[in-house]
Amino acid sequence: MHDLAGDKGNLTNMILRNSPNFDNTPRALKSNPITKSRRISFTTVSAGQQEGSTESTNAPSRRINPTPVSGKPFRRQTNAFIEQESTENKESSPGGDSSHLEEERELLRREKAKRLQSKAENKSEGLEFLSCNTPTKLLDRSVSTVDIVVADIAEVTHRIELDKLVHLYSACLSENLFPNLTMELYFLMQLLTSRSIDMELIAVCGEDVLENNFFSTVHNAVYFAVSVMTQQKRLLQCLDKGTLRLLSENTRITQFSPDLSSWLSDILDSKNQQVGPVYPKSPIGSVSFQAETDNRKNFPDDRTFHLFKRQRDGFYEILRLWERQHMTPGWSVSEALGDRIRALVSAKTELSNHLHFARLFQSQLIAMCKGDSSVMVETGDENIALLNQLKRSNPEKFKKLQERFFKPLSFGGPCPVPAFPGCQEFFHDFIIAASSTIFNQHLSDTFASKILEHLPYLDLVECIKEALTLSRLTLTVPWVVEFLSMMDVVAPKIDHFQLTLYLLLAIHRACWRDLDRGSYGYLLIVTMISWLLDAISVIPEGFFFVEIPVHVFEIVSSVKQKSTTHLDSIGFVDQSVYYSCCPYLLELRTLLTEFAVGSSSKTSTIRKITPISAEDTSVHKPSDVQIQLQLEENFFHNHPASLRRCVDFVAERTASNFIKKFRTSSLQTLLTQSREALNTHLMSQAGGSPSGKAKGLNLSAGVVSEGLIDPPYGACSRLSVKDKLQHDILKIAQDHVAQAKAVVAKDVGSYCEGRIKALVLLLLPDEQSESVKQTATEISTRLSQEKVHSWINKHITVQMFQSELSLELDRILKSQLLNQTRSVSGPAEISVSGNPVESGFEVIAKEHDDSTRFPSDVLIDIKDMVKLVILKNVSPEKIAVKNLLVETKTILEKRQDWLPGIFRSFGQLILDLCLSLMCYFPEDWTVEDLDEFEVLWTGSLKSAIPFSSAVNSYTLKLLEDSPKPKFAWMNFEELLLMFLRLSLLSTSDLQQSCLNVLSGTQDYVENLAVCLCHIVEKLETDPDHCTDGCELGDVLEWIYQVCGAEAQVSHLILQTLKLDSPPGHESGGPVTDHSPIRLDPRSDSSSETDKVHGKDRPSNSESNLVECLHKNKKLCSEMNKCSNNCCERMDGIHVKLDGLSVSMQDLDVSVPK
Amino acid sequence: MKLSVYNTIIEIMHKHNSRDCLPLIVKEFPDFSISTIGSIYAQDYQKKMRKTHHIHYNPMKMEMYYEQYLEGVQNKERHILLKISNGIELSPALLARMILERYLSSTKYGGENPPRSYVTKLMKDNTLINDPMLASEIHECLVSDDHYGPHVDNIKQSIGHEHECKLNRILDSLNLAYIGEDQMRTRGFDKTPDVKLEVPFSVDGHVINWIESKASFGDEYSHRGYLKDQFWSYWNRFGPGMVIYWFGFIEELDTDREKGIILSDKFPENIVRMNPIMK
Repeated sequence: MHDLAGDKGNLTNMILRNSPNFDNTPRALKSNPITKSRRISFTTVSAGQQEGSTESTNAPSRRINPTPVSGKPFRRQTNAFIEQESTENKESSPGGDSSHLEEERELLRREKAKRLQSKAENKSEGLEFLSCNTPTKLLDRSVSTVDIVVADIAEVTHRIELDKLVHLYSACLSENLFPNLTMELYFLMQLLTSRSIDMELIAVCGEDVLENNFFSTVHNAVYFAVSVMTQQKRLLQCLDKGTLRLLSENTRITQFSPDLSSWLSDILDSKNQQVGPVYPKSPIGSVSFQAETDNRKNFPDDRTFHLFKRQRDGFYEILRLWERQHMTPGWSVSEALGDRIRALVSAKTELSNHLHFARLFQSQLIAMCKGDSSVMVETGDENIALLNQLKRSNPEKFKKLQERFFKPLSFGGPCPVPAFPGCQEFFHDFIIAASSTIFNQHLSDTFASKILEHLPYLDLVECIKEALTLSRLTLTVPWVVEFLSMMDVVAPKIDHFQLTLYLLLAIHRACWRDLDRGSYGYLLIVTMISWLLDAISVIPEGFFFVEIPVHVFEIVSSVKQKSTTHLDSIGFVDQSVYYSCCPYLLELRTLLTEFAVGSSSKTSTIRKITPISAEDTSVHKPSDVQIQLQLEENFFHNHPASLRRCVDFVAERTASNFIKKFRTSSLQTLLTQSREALNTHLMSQAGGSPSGKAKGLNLSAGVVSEGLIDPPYGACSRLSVKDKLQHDILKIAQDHVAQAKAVVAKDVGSYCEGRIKALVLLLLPDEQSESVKQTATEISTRLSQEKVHSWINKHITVQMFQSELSLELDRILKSQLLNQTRSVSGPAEISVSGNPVESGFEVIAKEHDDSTRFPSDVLIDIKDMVKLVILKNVSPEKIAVKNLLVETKTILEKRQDWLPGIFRSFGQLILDLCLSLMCYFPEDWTVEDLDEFEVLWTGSLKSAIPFSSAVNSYTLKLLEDSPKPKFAWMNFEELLLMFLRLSLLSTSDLQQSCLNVLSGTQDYVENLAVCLCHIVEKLETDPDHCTDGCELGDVLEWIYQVCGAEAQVSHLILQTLKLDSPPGHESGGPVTDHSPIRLDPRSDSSSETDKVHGKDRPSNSESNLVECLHKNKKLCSEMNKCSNNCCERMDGIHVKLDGLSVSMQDLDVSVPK
Repeated sequence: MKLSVYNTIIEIMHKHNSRDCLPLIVKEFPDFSISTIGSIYAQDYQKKMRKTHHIHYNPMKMEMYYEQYLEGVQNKERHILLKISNGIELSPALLARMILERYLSSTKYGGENPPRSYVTKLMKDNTLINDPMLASEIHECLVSDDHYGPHVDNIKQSIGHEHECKLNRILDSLNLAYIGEDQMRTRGFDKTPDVKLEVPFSVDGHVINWIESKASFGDEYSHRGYLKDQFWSYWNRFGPGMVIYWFGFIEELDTDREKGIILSDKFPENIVRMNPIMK
């Protein structure tokens, strides 16, 4: 046995070399992106098998390397450790012990360098020491369950030496002499769970030959591990419940140290399972759309607005694809989605889109990564218990399952390289795939401003200093570490980052010193900084051991902690936070679980690192200085910062509220007024027809009549009209902008003043002096008014009104054009009484009755009934018809969910139902059976239907097709009479609709004439009906002309009209109370056409109706030749005939035979 | 409704090829209302029309149908268009419109196509059609067609509106504040569900921020379309929400619950309100 005390260097060397942990394979280079699980590199005993040959070059490595320490006796060293443990850490102060430590560190460094050089030699030397192998890991162990060697305390050799090693190792651990705590714990677990089928394992030595290998057996290794653990209970205590349970159930611990085992059980019982919904996953999953920041007003134009709408949906579509696909082997973002991403990010986008998209990207990233369950740690250990059970009950199934079962638990070893776990990967890959410099710039801008809410770029040193001052290192260090872990190669060479790293190292030492029992805050800091220094390839090797410059310590020591709440000392970090920040700690558990189930895992994930570049900081421009502003600055300077925040906040909110109010009320009124002004202006241009808006808007016609446009070129001249109108619009716009500003000027003062006064009083501290309150109020009021005015000046512009008015003008012109097109193209277009449905519809129900049927349901029944009648010739029961009509009345009165469309359908189909019943079953359905119809027609359904439409071509056909046409016609006659008597229909409208029908067909002219004659007669004898207004004469006269004097019906017409002589003679005097008919429909009267243009012509006499009718007929024949020109002219003529509702349809009247 | 049941129902419908089978189906599957079955039928019918659209809408075919119509007129037949439509399995209203277009084209537009808006106008108001024969033929088609035409359009629109109103009334009665489509549009939202809740509630552990009312049956075709054009867009802006297919849906489509789109066939009864005091 060697004199251990004599040569510490040898001892350390020996410990580590001989330990199963000693890794003789080439040390994994820091630049190696793959950090494999740092499992002990076990080798087999088989002769000729070289150590290291079982593991490839990416074999796991440990940072701890043997360090020969010269000079001081072991005992004293140990004492020094113990002393130091009990006293303050004196590293910063000069002193024997601490300088000695530095010396040791230097030695460690040298040794490390040496070791790196001698790797190759080690390999070859290994052959010479075949008797010196480490515990063996069988080659096939990775895939199969292997019997685990039973460690036996009785078999432990070299107890004394081992105890010393335990003591030494434990002291190093306590004294923060190992760079990475996690690694040491992992090492201990590896020893604890070491396995071998060969009891004669011998460690491989380096260049130093040792006669004895204290770690040559599993028993010794376990003994060492258990002994160290016994001394490091305070560290064990911090482990999670799952790990502790595995430790407490570990058979080796039970065997080697029943005390430790029972202590573990006690701890386990006292420990509450910390389930970590620390950051509950955001339930939203997406970024909320906020009208204030996301609506159209936040974009320069429609194009960019709609582009962003597509960008947003496109982004989420990509995200969803990623979620679905990213676990698929061989799938990659850049390959599968690269083109889509690039198209999304760099499509013809403008500044606003980049801004919005970067913001969306950032918000989504934060929302998703916050509480990402895929990077969170599963702390429950039910699965392990389940697995154990399964192993017993169904070994085969267990074997299959175990591989899969452990995979998710692997975090890439106890010291993984920085990675983008979980959904972070998506954002990482997205940025890479997008490869857009503009996007990147916007992203970094928006992130920087998110973290500090100001530019320039992050000043990490300041952040750390502030964290020290405020005692919130536990909050700051984790993100600083995460941030630094992405450094590129150059960054650590920059002073700023060097200083940052030194600061972290100093913090590491300080926190180690203060590691309180059971507190996770400093433990978290220590663990994370250790990880950073250990895992990040760009940080210089051995940085942990360097001397921290004095000025760095000064920074730390000069910090004066503020007397606010100390986040670091209030237990803000608990175990679940600790584990979620350092998920690789679960590797310990993986080891133990593997041991427990006798398996080994062999997985590790590969993650990419993206370096960040060091950024230049930009310089702030000083703002303009004015004396008042200086005063104000000073005012705020001498008051707490909260005062300014309060003033700004109140001003901002008040202004925003005023603007919102203005936008929804005054501005809408002004916009409406401006549109009305435009309409009024157009009406005055159109000659100010008194017949209401509809005609007033008849712009083109109006312009035509004013001779502004040459009629034949009406269509193409609309543009020039618009041009001419532009300056009028400009004037209207200017007027209204002025009005808007006046309104604001009038309202904003009192609005802001009143509110702000109250608010400031509420928000400022009570003890604040009155004058401060007063000043604050005034500043805030001024600020809010400034904000309002600047908003108004920016948004309430002449251009804005102009564009609104241009839209309005377009709308008017378009509707006008449409009317023109229709009237030209659609001969039968204008229905007599216009379209009362759209305007006449309103929901009449004051209350809603849910027990009634839906309108759609009732209408379907009515429609089915009409279908039954006209297609199946089935007569419905009267009660059924009645019920439907009554129900219609009910739902009209009791339901509020009516729409104009279905209301109109009700009108049409109920009239259809009535007419078809009277035609198909004329004897069953007479006017006496129409009570329910009448109720509806005179009541709530009145505006749903133009009653004149009862006279139409298909109804007349229906009447003719009736099994009893005579009865049907009588019914029809009665129906029309009923309409007339109920004033649902006027005789002039009736006459017009008859003319419309007859212009299309003369098939039923005689029956219609008879019907009309009867109506006239009956109306004349009807005491209740005023006959004066009967205006059916013209159509009858017209029919007379069409049918000829010889026709039977003509006699009836003469009779009815009480004419002595037939109408239609040029010289004929007034034969009725109507004006004489001077034109025979068949006569050629084209010579008269020109007269129609004359303005002197009376335009409202009934005789002219007929006359024009005929003129038009003549024009019709010309129309086919001259087409559009003629139409234009005709259109002009039409407009002239104000008061006459003669429409272009009359052009289509075919010349009677 | 399970997909298998849905498929069975569709099979029965195809066998009968008429709405007459609807009451039979309701009898066989009493769990489902006539509206549900009717909606499924209508969707299937529309699917058929979409699939066969290209067959009918080519100039030669259209001219042929018009010739057939004119022949019928010549022979003083009745229900000409209905007979044709039956023979070629095209919706009567669609055929009516096609014939009207041909008619206007040949009688008034010298072979050119009449303006669509004008054709639509005449379809909406048959009294404007001069030719009595054509007017009555078209009128007949429109009255008898259960799936297309102005009346059906109005009915469909009304059904949607009725159920939106129903949803609004339920929310009102539960005192749940929300803003509707119109308000959202005024405020400049680029995508607007029927209802956006001012204060979310939850159903079966799922948070609901918005509700879309669909007065139709949720079959695969329509649901996929809605997801792409509407539901995901709502999710993208307002987070998780709920779709109410008032006439039911294929259960197998309800796969996005965890992601934040839940389907329902009624307003759920077991809602959990937000309660800021109880945290």
